[in-house]
Amino acid sequence: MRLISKTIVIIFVHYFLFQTSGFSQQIVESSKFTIARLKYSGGGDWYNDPSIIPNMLEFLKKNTNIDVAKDEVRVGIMDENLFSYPFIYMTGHGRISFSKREAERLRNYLTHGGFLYADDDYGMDKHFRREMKKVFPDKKLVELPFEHKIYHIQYDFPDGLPKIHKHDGGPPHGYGYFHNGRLVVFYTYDTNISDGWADPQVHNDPPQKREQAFKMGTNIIVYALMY
Amino acid sequence: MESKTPTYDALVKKLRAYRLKEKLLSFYEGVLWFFISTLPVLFVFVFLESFFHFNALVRTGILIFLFLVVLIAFSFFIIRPLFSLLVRPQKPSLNQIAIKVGAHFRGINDRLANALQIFEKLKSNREKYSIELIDAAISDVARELTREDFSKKINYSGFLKTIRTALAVLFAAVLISFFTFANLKSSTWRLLNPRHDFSEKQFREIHVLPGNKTVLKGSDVPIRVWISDAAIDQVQLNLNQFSNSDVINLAKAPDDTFRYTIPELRDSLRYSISIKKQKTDEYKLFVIELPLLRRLQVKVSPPAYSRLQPYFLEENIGDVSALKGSLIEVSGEANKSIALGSISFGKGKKIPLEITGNRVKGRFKLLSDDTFVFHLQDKYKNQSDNPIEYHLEVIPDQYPVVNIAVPGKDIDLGEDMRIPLAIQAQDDFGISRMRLAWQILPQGLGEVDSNAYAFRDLQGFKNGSDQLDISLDWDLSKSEMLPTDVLVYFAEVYDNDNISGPKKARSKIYRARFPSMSELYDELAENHDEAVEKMENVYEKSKELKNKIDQISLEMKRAKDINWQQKQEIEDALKTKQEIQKQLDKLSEKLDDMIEKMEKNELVSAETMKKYEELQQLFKDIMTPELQQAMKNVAEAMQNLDQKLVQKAMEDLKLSDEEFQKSLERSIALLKRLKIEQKLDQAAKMAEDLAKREKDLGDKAGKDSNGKSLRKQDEIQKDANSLSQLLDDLKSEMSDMPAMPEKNVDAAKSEMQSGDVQQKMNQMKQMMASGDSKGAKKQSEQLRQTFQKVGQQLQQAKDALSGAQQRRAMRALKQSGHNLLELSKMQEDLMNATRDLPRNSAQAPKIAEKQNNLSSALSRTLNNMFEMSKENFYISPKIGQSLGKAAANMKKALSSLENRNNKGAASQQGQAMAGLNEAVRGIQSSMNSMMQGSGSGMSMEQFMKQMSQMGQKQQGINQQTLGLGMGQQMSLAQQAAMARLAAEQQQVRKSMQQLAKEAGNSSEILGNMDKIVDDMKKVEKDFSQQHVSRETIERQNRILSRMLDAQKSMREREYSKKRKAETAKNYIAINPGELPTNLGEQRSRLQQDLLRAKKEGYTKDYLELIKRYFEALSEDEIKNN
Repeated sequence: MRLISKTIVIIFVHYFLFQTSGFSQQIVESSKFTIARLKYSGGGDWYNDPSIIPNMLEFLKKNTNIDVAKDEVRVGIMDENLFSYPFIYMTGHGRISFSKREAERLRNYLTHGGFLYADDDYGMDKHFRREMKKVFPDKKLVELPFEHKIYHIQYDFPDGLPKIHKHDGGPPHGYGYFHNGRLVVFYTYDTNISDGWADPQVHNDPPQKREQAFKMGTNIIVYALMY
Repeated sequence: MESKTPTYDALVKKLRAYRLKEKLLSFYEGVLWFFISTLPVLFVFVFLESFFHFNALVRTGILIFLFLVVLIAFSFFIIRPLFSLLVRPQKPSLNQIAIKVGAHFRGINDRLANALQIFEKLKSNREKYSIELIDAAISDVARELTREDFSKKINYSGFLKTIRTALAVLFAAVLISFFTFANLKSSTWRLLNPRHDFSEKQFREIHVLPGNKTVLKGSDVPIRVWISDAAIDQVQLNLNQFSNSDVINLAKAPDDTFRYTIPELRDSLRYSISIKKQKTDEYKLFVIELPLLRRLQVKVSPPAYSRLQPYFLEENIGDVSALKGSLIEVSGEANKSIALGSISFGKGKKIPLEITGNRVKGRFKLLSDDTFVFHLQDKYKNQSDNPIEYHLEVIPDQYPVVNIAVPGKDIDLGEDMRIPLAIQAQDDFGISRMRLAWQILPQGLGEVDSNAYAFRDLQGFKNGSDQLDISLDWDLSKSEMLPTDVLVYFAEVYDNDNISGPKKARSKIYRARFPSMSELYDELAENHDEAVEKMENVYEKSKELKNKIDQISLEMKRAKDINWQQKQEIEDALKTKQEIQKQLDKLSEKLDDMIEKMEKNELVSAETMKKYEELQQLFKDIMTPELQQAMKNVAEAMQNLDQKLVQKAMEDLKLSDEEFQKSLERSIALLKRLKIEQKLDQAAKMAEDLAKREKDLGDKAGKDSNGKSLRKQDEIQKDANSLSQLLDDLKSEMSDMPAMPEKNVDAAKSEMQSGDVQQKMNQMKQMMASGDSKGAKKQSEQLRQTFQKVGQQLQQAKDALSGAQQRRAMRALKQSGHNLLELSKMQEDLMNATRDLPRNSAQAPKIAEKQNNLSSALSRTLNNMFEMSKENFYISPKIGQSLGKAAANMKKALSSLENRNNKGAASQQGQAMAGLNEAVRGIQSSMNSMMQGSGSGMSMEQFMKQMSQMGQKQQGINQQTLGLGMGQQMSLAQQAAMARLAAEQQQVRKSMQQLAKEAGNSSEILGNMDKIVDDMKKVEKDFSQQHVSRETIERQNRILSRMLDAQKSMREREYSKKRKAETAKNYIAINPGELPTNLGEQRSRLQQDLLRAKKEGYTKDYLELIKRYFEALSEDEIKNN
């Protein structure tokens, strides 16, 4: 019953977002949600693991009533259509560099309804933190407690983020930037949730791990769309 | 006859007028005499009454007497002349009058009377007087008197005297009345009421305040009565309002007065005081309503720059706190119709009000703190009384605030000469301008000159924003800064206050120092030495501890129980271990800082940096989970005081501690070795840098000022000396290490010496000083060549070092691998023999001996490998762990054999063999890695170089493609060019494929290699089909972008290994706890709160408090960061 009611809320929010929020015409036309992969400068492999987004979208399609597109879109910070996507995703292993204008625009995007999900694929952490300082010099990245809704909104993760990949071997961490009380950036570190969305043969992850990754991904997306 | 007597008639008429006038005068005089005679009498008796208060009888007598006096005086002085005037107008006769008048004219005398008498005789004329004679007599007198006015001859002197007397009496009466009016009044009253009993009021004098008065409607009216008669202790106050009357008894107050306050009097009333039978006059309190404002509404329109909306104050609130320049509009409703109105300000200004009936309106600008009141006047000219004073307070437009959040401290400039700036500014109503100010202090010397700042306006923000976050990557590479110079800078903002003029604020002044290379290297060397020293200290401590643990472990084997002393020793040992761990943590942080600094300033080559980072990782892994677990086990066993458990835990700790010792020893050795590699890098870089600087100097010879060039040359000379010294140090340090390229370093040093660097530099300075720019240029070129050669020698030294290391490592790995394989084979044979051995076989000791030999052989190999591991990073800790496992199992197997436990021994032998095989696999993997990473000769720098070359080539192809145009008809030349481009693109593709193959793991940074190759193939196809479209260009851009990205990503190469995704194991989740209350939004939220507080119109003092609070919070935040 709870799941049904949540799903209804999601559909409603989704409908509301896309029918009324003025995101791009393109979205309105298609009325389909997709994950926009952020193309950033600096040399990091923003493009890695091409199978992850289609797989995640497929999971969303099967397990929620969100009307999703089939493929990912790729978007640069300075692209005209950045504001067409309520949810952008970034990953990588290395360097990231935001120019002054990019940092300003990304800040503008995030403080005006956009949501960024960043997933460290190992090696991105220090660059991400440094560059996000440019975006939000006045804000601090704070670690979200396990009680935060993002861990419970659709699937229940009582112990916070699931640990998908080993990386440094410690527990995973979920951080966030808030703007006026709204979570605008969710950053996962030392787990690599989105690697769990890749095709099974890519990382040879067991099905349980992949399922956890998809469920957490669903939570992130649903949360971003609802708040 | 009658007709003949006109003269006679005229005379008669004149005489009659004279008589009338005289009678009137007599009447007037009588009236005056009436008053003169009666007033003193009346006054005398009134005074007598006021003094004596006669009884009724006397007063009646007096009254009768006075009446008689008045009657007699009236009859005599008024009735009598009046009677004469009205009843006897012919008296006295004309003859008598004529005699009187005639007496006034000389020569007339009786003639007039005679003439009149004779004329009278004519009527009968019995004497028969001559008519002509009578005529003549009359005419004669008449002729003489015709022109005379008889009335002038009336004597007024007596009348005037009477008037003076009357005036004197009147004056005396008024004077007396003025001073004794009350007495006279009451005396007169008593005399006029002789039958009334006035006996009780003889001493009473009553004063009633306020008497008659006009009072404001609704005001309290105090009534105060004072009576001269002290015996009276109660009076009555009579109040009459319309048809209602009320009597209030008033008791005497301590001050001998009687008091009463009529509360909130709304309508007029009359009142009097009664004392027994006496009653005062009735007084009137007349209630009036003065004009006053009943309703007030104030509208405040803040100045336009504030962008605040106009707002209304609450009704009847007139105190205004608003921004300077605000328009204040007041409107109100008075209690009555108003004729005139104005607003008067405390500072003297006055403005008229617009008036419509009882409504008033006014407006003014708030420019300073002040007060104001409404002055209203109704049509009866009644004015508002004591109007309410309202206060005007100017809320000051706050100064803007600016803060350089990043870097937010004094810094050293990095190699890239950039300062990432994050400037935060805010103002309550908006910022109009922001600029950056700076000046360079040569060598950081001298004072900051506040007039010497250069300014640069920062753009890219919306004018009027109340909060700005500007990020700026400040590139100083083109500035004139030289090493050791200091940049002093700050940010400045202006607000948009166009009322009082824009206010500006400055951030804190920060400094950015451009450190010289030698300084950086000196600091690095110092940190290096410090790290080594501390590590050695930790190592020594750890060694002592290990001995202690060994000793305790041995003692425990002998003892049955743990005694107190042992317990204490174990606890101390654990404590010491924890301290060591803490020191290691600190050292690790120190190492991190050192590496970060090296990376930021690019002090070492990428390859050396990679080694540092490997060392960093190695260092972090020193404290193995096994060791930590062993410590934990000991602590737990100690709590249970279980001797066996403690003994076992101590044994485990001993083993783990051995590994710890070895790792520490290895780290120290590697750090020392890295120090040499770092110095070699440093020397190579310095040589390269000197060559570059010398070239710059040569190029600018004659262009720069002499002073500047000389300073630059001085700096070069200083650094060249440092390089020379560095080479000497290097050579000395290398002598203690195996496989070091001392010869190459020697060669570099010789190059410097043979080039006469010092001499040439001195000559060059002389040339510069004398203005010989040609000579200086030539000299500079020679020096550049020398430095370049030195650099080449040092580069060769680096290559030699790298090659030698690899060769030694490879040899050692091969040898070790071979040995271990042999040992594994022998262990397998021994395992097979042991497995089939009967329990009491005589072969057992022989097998045990063989097992012992194998164990010794493994020990030797282990030692060799450990020694080798001190030189490089190819022998991973994992190999060590596998070998450790093999060694431990061999020992166990030996022990089992000694105990005739052949099965157990065989199993342990199997595990030893497995450990050996794992180690062999690890070694093979390391060798593969060497082959791939550098064994084929492909170092990271080479890879970078090739990538860069290919990138340039691709860029050339792209540019040429653009020159060909799209979709146009092509000339033959263009077709040929396209064919050539197709070939070039193919060449780049093949090179890329080859590079990826050679680079092994490095190729990961290219991302999806297949996609690039695929794109390249499509481009080639487009060229061969002579069809260049937009897609072709896009593909080419994509290829180039990927290649450039790859170059940038090279720095991240160290992560490549780690990138390999490994499915996670379970872990213990630790909830980070509650979110901070500010959700990490920190200052901006606080600032918003402050702005909100300002806009909500708090008082100045309160705002100041809020501001201080905010600043305190911000400071805390900065400290915490």
